Amino acid sequence: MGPVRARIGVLAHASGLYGELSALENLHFAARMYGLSLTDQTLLGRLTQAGLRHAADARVRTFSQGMLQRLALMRATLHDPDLVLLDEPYTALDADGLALVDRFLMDLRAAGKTAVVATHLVERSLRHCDRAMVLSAGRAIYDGPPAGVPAHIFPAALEEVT
Amino acid sequence: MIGTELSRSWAIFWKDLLIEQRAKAAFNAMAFFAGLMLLTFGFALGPDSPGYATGEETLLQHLAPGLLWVAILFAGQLAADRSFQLELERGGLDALRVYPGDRKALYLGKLLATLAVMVMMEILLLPFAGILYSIDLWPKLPGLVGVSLLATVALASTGTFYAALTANLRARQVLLPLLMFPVLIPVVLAAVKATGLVLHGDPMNELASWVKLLAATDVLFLTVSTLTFEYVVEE
Repeated sequence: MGPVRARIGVLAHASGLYGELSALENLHFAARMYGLSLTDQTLLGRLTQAGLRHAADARVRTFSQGMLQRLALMRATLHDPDLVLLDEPYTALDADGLALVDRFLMDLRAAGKTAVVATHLVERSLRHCDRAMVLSAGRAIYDGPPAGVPAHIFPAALEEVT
Repeated sequence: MIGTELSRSWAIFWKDLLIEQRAKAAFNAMAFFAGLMLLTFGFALGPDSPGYATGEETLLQHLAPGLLWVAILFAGQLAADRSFQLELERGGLDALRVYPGDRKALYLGKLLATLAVMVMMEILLLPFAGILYSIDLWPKLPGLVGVSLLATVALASTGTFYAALTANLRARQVLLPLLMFPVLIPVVLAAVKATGLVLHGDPMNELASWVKLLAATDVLFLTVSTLTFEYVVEE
């Protein structure tokens, strides 16, 4: 399973970050666990990309939920995985954060990588996906191209495959 | 490949110690708990009660090895529990499961961190016990350090294993000692006997047998825990 895990990035509900470590220390730890030796410069570049450069040395326990979500996204994808599993990536994000996730999904798509996104923000996520699946009460009630998702089920939970 | 796995173990070890250095959650809990236990034993048994073996030592001095290892055993359980508790706060354990690499590296990193915290606690606890029970530890220090290290490796390896096993359970603080302590009976027995022989003298040359038992339990627990840890941390 080790080689398979190396090709997957997972963003779950919990961030997987450590409150007593700084943002930079959290990314250093994640890099070591992915088997990468990334320099401070590279990791600071990732933090800049996430809009967290100013908080690089701040302890994560002082972060807002939106900052945690941005950092968690960077942590989960530090190793440039081929498959990304994102569970509610838009949670707690402000307008800039939402745009960050949008850009991230577009970049993944442009690089020919796969993302599976579970989200309640149906209209926003439909912009980026090639295939959409709508789940209601645990059952798939729609599975097909995003353009075909019936408007009346938009409030339902949506899983989409990019 | 081995280098990468050792690097992962080192990263976990470094991360746990850095968090411990900043939060001091495990160390403070352990040190106060173990110190208070030794102090309470001191009050309960009385400083001047004569010992059973000879009239030259007090009851506290006679029982010191047992009291010391009871305190270390309970404090060690706190350290092992805390080691995985910090992983549950923000989904750290799930993240650790998803990282690539061998799970043995995860076990080794966690074990080393727990071991380091326990050794730091013992560095404070041993002189404290010496002062409290009026035992001159200085001439017996090499033997005491050797026995303590061997026993602490067994406590930390078993504690880390069972703390991972019970990490996701609601009743983990009850289950961890229930699972851990029966397995550790031979370790506690050997540690108490060996410490007693170091402190009170070894006229029958028994120390080597107890030290060998401690070394054997170290090898057994480390081998079994390392080989089976992968199944313990799987969902």
